Amino acid sequence: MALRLSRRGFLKAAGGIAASTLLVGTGAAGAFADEDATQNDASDDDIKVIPSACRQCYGRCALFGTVKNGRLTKIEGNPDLFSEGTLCGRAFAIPQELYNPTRVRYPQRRVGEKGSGQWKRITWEEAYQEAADKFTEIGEKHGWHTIAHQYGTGRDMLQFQAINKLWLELGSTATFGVGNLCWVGSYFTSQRIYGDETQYTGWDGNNTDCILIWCRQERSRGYYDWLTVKRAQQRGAKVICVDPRFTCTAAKADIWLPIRPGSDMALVLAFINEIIHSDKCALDFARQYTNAPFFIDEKDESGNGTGYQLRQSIMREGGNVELYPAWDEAHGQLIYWSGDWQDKNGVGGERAFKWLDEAGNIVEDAVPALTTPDGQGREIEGKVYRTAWDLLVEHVTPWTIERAAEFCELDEGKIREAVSAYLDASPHACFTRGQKVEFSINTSGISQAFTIMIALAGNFDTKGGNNIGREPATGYDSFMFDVVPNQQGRMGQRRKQTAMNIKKLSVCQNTGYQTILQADDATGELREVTQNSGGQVIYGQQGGFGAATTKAMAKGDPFQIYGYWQQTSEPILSIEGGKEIIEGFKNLEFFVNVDIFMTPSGELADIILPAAHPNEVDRVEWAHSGHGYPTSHTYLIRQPFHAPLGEAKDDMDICFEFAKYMDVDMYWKDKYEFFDYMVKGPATLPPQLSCASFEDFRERISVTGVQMTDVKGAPKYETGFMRKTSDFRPGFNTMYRGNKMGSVYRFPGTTLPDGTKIPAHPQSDNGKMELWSEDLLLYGNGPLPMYIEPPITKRSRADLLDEYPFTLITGGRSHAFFHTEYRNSPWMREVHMFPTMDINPTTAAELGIKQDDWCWIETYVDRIRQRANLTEAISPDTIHVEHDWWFPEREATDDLHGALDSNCNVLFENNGPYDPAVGTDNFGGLCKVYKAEEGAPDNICLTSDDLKIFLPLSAEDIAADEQGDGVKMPTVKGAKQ
Amino acid sequence: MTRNIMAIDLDSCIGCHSCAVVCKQENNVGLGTFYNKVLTIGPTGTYPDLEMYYLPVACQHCDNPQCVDVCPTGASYQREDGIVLVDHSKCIGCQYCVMACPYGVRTYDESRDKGVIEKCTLCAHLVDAGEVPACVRHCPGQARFFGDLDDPDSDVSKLVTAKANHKLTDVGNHPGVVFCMDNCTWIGDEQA
Amino acid sequence: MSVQWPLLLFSVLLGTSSGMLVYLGIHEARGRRATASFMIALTALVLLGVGGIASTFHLGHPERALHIMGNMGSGLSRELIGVGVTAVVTLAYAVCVRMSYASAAKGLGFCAIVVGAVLPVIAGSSFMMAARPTWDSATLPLMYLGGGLGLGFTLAAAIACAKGAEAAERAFAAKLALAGAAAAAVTALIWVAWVALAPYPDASRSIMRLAAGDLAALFWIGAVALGVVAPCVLCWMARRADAKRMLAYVSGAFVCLLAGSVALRVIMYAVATSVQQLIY
Repeated sequence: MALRLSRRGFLKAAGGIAASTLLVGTGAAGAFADEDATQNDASDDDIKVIPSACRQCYGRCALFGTVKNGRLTKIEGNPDLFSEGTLCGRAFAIPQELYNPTRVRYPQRRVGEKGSGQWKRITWEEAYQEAADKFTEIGEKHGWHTIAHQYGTGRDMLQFQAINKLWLELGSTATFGVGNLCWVGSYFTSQRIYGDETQYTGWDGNNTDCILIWCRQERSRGYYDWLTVKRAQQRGAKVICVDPRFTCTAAKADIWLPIRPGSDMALVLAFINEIIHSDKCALDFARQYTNAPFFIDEKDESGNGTGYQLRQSIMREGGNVELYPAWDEAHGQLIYWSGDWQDKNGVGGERAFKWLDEAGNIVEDAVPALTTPDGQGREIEGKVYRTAWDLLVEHVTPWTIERAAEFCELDEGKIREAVSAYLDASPHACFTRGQKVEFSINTSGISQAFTIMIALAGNFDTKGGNNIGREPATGYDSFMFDVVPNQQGRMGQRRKQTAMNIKKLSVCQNTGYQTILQADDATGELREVTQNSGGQVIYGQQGGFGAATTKAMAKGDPFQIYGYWQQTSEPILSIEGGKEIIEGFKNLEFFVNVDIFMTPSGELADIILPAAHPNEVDRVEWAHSGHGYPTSHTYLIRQPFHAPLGEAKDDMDICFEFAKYMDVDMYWKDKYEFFDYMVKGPATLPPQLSCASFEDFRERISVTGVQMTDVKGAPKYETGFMRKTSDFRPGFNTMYRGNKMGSVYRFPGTTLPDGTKIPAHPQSDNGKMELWSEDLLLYGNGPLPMYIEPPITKRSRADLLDEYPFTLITGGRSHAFFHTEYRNSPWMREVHMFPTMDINPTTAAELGIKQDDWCWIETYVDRIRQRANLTEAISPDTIHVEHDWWFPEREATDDLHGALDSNCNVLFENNGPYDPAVGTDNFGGLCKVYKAEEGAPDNICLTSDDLKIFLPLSAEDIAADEQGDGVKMPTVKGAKQ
Repeated sequence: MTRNIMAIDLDSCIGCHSCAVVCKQENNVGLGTFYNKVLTIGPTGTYPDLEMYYLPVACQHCDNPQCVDVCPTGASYQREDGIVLVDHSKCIGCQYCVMACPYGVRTYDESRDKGVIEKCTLCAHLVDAGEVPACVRHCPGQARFFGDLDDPDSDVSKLVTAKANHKLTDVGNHPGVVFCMDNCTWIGDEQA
Repeated sequence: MSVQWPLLLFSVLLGTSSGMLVYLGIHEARGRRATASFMIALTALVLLGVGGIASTFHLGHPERALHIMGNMGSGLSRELIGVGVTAVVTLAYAVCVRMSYASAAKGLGFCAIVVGAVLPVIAGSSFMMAARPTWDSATLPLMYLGGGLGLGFTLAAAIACAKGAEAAERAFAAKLALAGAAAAAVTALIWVAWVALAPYPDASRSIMRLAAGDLAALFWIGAVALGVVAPCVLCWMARRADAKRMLAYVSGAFVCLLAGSVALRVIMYAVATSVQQLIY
């Protein structure tokens, strides 16, 4: 069902404007043909109202831009899509971004020292050729793995695909990563465990009776989600908020659990424990759709046993590797689950995803036993095995509410209240989380725990619960950008070689063993254990996360990185150990930065390529990170308000063009070829969800899919499609993911309406949700979610407390900014002028700190300055500082535009431990705080008046300055002279 | 008779400042000047027993506007429908209205139309075109409502009837904006 | 609220001018024209003019001043009329004195008492705004009136002294100066008492700011020592002083009152926070 923009909505949005044409776009052929469009052309002004999407956070709200004589003059909300016409302040500041004086509009080559801020304009050809020559030289001399690449979060997944493909094909492995510090843990884990990313996305707020919101703010991204939450509350649904801070969400919630930062696992385990021991535990779901009844071939103390899920092949010689034994309570017999849905091991076809008896016959009425006699195991062919369920129950049972209260510093009654609210509403209770839980070395583990909690409360794929299956949405997923060429055998030789030798070529090769502080289940005592990492993998990319790449660049560990390609990202601010990253950038032989603006790390590059603003390019857009229906099922157009300023180019085009210089086979001719493929989708897609081409899609503005349950009349898990779906190990991105790739129509052996039969394709899994996870075991996390105390807390580092008495957290997000963005926006800075430290008034009084005092926040690593906000929203023993602060108003030579003054990520070391699966580091710790007698950092904007330097340039000013000597950065110091 | 007012559902407001920014776009408001702003009230109480809400503030378009009373030139005036405006061509910039306003929502703007008084117009130009103020249209929390209080079927009337009503301190000016809130304790003497 | 210096200056000069008119009027009423009455009237007129000019610096668009009659109900419009009437009366009185129209001068002297007493009240009452509790009281125009009498009487007495007034007139002038200083003192303290009692209490406008807060120095030294104590003491001493000393005492009293009036008005703006200060 396509959502078309209604005439009413459009005319309303267009207001009284005499619209001449309604749409432009590079390559767009007058697509939006409106019968009234050419009338009323009363003025000489050329005015267009262009439907597009916002890219200023993950929310992707639908909007209209009014373009007058080629210049964007106004932004308005589109009332007909999921954002319902609402827009946050960042959208209105888009013109300030487009015409910002700090924008790079022409390619630049550095002519002074690194960080001197001295640049000369060059041509694109010169830039590409020099980059090609330098990267080739480095690749051939030191190996292609000594070139790192990087992209920023929240741009768009299509851009990411182009960058990723270009550099994987070139043999690059290292990256600072994107999302691995805040999102990938959940994504990775839910993909591995059940094949979808529903811990942020897929919560059915429209039908729910309870929303459990774990460390997520209403107004950090996609504010329209609040409308869903609010309406649920108005219907009587309970909202539970887990957050150390009294955020907007906490203020609106019915129950707030002010949890001790980093202790989340104890609370989730208590939730699971309460659920398991309640009469609402979804035993049938566990029995039928998870691997809970599977036997586990435990490794004993002398090292016997594989440690994996039991297969018939482990049980007995000559057994089938695709048969997973369980005990059938109905018939008192051993039965086997067939995971052979690809029909490669003789038990596929009809028998795939079925319980079979010893003879291989399907047992339709099998009742697989969750537990063994007394949980002590069942003897099978001479050996005693326990089930995954037995192990899970044994693991969580000691995690009582009392223990959680102690670990999390929460009131027992409050926990009970929250558990009851969630459980009472189940199976119509949903869960959504924010990224703050992810700032943890246990991000994969906690994501597994959340999965178990949702599953056992019976909330998967229920009305008002968490939907696993988001398909059929629309078209193909962006990951097909890389999947299709690989399917076609078009993966380049160098990439294959790199993949085969990844252990030697990955910067993560030395991150294997680490000491962590884990809680003993039985006693709850913290004890040191060694964790063996699986070699962190990000987006199927072998080898890269922030700290590992930093070590390689700065210290040559495990090898020196010489070359670096960075696209719209700022690691100095967003990754821990910013000073070491600067050191690393200074070591580089060659560094190309692609960005819209001059940035701290850009000042250390050799060449800067001007990226187009997101509203100067064509894209298929969709909301990222965390929404329910219809948002989660909608594609919408993001099309240019006008051509890129100066010589700026679309990031995707830059990748395609540079690929030609590097002889990289991108498979797709250009972005449009992929867009066409994507919006068309599989042949099996219902016709109304398929667009003939991108131009057709442009006309439609958006396409919204229908929900899985509406198509199948059943929850996804009952259709047999709940599974992990990747087969490109290590990695998880590449093959037939379970959502927007249309896999519901692609199950091998399925006969389509037109009679064609879907052939087998590579994919390995057994169709069961893994409560006990073999994958996480292999990645080093362990098969069950363990409580791990973060490395720098009051409990793990009591030795630091005398000097650094306060818990320091950094996870809050300001609604005025998007990570490092908008510090150069006059309007957004005016709303939020200074980096702000939250401190409890009692603590502040003890320290002699007053409201708006600039303070030093010091850890054992470093110190930064932020301005004090005295608020009861934070516990007296905790300090919160804002992330990603820099001061574009300071000069390049002034600490790289003030990249170190208030940047909280310099407060943390980058020496591990990290999450074994995805490499997430620790972004919290212990600190002391004291008044900065020096006051604010020098040369920063202090008043609204100071912000005038960032006001948009006029069209004349832009035309007059071709940036022959680089970008004339406006500075406070300069403005004063 | 039409009595257009703004009603704000504080239970819905998430303090995102979108209204403050869209207003700048719609009314071309200069840096340093705000027609409206969002205050954070609280958190009150002691951690973790807290309450907090957000209070969007702007000209209250009072029933008995003091600013109009003190204006020596008639530049500050009230329309039939209740909207209080400043006719910049008559304004001499004496700022008595700024002093007479109980809420500090008027300002003497030197940045744009030098030497006159600026304040929220309730987007009268949009209202006259049959639309609603920009902040109402774009509010991410759908917390703002604009309409005829004398029409019992208007969104404004429905909201005002459904929830507890609060107003800013009334010193005889009879503020027009209704703040609706059930979920928090209204604090009468908010200060910026 | 920040100090509005043009308005502050205007109010002080207007008060002085008004006080001088009352001084002249009282002498006329007693049937003994004051020494240097022409000069005093002229000074009053000049001060009023200077004050008026000063006040235009407060306006964004003084060139649109004609619009000011747009709302006769407004304090500012009334003030403008008041100033006009006062200027006419003062000028007329000066002319009569110059031309020795004794009976006309006597009649105008009566008018002078009226306008001199009314103008500060009008000026003060234009600040009576419900939005600003510390201003919203009759004690404010009263304070304007008292301050004006003190300022005007001491300055007029000083001029008369300097111009060789005889002992009897000097004695009366000294009494008037003392009465003026006392009026200034009493009305100032009455307004301060209002500050303490005003509704909608708030730290920003509390009496504690004056007594022991950030305004304490300004209050105790400026408003109390210079504005209340010193003028009264000096005028008291002036009663029996010889011409030279009296000139020194009453001039001193005027200067102290001037400083005290400025200090008190600075305080007046400082505590003039509105009921709810939401954006600015």
